[in-house]
Amino acid sequence: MVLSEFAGISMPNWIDALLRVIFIVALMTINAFALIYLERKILARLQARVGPTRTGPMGMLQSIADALKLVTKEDVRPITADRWAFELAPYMAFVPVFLVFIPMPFTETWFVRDLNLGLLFVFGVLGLNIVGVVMAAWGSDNKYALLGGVRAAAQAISYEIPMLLIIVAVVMVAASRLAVDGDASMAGSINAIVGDQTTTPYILLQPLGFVIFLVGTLAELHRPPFDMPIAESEVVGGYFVEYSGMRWGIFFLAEYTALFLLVLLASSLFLGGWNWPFGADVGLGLQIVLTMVKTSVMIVLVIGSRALFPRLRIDQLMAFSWKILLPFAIVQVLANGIILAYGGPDWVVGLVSFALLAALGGLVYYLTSQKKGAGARTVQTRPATPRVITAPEVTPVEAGGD
Amino acid sequence: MEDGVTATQVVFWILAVVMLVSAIGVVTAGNIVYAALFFIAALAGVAGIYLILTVEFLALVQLLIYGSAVVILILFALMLTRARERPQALFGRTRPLGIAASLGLLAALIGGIVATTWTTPATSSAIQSVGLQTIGDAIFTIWIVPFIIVGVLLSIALDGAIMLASPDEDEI
Amino acid sequence: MPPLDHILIVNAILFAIGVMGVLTRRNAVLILLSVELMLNAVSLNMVAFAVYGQVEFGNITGIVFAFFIIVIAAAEVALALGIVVRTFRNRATANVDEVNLLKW
Repeated sequence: MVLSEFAGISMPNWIDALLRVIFIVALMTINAFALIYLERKILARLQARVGPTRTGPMGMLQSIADALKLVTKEDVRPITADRWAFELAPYMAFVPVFLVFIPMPFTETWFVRDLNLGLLFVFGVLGLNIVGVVMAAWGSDNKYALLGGVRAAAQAISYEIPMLLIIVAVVMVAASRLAVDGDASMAGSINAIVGDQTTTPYILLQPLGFVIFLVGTLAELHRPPFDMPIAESEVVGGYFVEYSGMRWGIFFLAEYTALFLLVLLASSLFLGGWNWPFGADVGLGLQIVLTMVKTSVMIVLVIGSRALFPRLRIDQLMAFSWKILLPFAIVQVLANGIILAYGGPDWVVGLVSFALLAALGGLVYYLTSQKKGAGARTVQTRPATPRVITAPEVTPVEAGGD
Repeated sequence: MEDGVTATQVVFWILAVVMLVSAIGVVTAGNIVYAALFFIAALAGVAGIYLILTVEFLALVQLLIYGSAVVILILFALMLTRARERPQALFGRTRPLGIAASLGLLAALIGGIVATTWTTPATSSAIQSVGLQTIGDAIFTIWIVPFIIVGVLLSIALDGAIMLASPDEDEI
Repeated sequence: MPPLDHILIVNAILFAIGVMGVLTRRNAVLILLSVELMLNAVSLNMVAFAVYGQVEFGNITGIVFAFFIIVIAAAEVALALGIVVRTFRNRATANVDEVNLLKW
């Protein structure tokens, strides 16, 4: 009850539902505008530039100018493109992201629905996003779009698995804590997990989980160093290369909304969401401020990564997920299971996770600090490209035709 | 079950029609990618019916596993098999026979369903929803051995798939 | 909730569509999709029986079955796609009628 609790107004259910939808649509649009502006400004500062300055005070109207340009731009469809796949793909990519707003808690009582299976819902629905990407890639009838789409799909499934395992580990911790002073069967609900972090944010209990989740978020969002699918210098922008005007804008809106949502999820799961750190109780008004502050800090981290990291090679990227993150996530789940089954206290869980994080850091440092070629050989498999060429007279580039 | 047409039933029939039309699309589409996309729609319909049957967990697992993973695997296979470059025969010569056989099977199944008296609860309100905890208890206590076996089977199958799909040494 | 026999009839139609796909399609990937449709019809049936018989029989085994069917289907898809890729590499076709030699 967004308004009714705040202002004490009672209203029929359908008006309440409508208000929530309007609230989310407004939030999504404003969020996209703000993020575009922020991204340009932060990146500019990190690269010793100033970014947009001319449109409005400090260039703040730049995103609106961008949006106006997008709306008035001609919507072009290549003549050889597959009509249905091409035109439906942006919506297929956007709708799942929009649905993920449903279980997201902004304050203790502000959410669309507090789903008992909220975490599973987020990943089950967000995973459908990739269908739109693949549709766009195939429908565009462009070899770069196809390459980008295949890369995006491979990357999305690879990084979804460590992320889901880490979610399992977090839910295990949450369930054992909720069993003490709450209902353990609610541990799948995001709001219940946030509610459990009044005294201890889970980043202290699951630091490895936080790092893996952050890396997975960067990968799911195609952010550097994991931006192979949309790398301009290699696949000229990836799966949306043939899109222009508002259809391209919808892809962009989906991407920024997903950025906001995944980061909001990370701050809810690990940083305590709407809680003041370490137990102080604050009112409803401050809770939303806290959520937004935590989310914004992480957004700056994610955006900043674009200026800080070089791009990974595609085989390094896949190997990092399957050979490093996945084993660590499995070990984390096993360790949590053993500790919690024998009733180990919280600090043991946190200590083990810290030790695993240190091991992960040490391993990555060791692998990247090897002499040229030696570290790479440890991480990577045989180079990926020649394999595909071995199929009779096929190269991956020709796979889509042109 | 004579308690009139409820909203749930209307939603059920909408979902059922979407699911069946998409399923027909899967088996009749002239393009493999279209068939795969129709397949996603049919699976979403199945997930919706799971929701109506109050098994939310299964619906989400369905979306998670089929919706993303299986469909992506299928699209990968399509790209490997160059579906677009060389249009291949999608239907065989025995198509009329196949249609006739499936219609005969359908008639037999529906005849069986209509002829049977199903012992269901008297009113639909007597049907309880199935909670996640009930499912978890069943899987991890009664069915724990099959659960472990199915896990082993899955990992063996994935190993086998990797073995099958990776190239021979002389092909590299 | 809809009556049990309505759900069963819908599932029977879905199953029959899957059978039609298996019998008429000749492309291996499309046959795989049709098999998946049949598996889905069966697991829907299991879930319907479990939910409607829950009070009377006191268990939800059908739902557990549906869960296992999803896992088996994932394993099956992985293996079948491996076979399709292998076949395509050896014979340059995904048409099951052309894969008619036991030895190559």
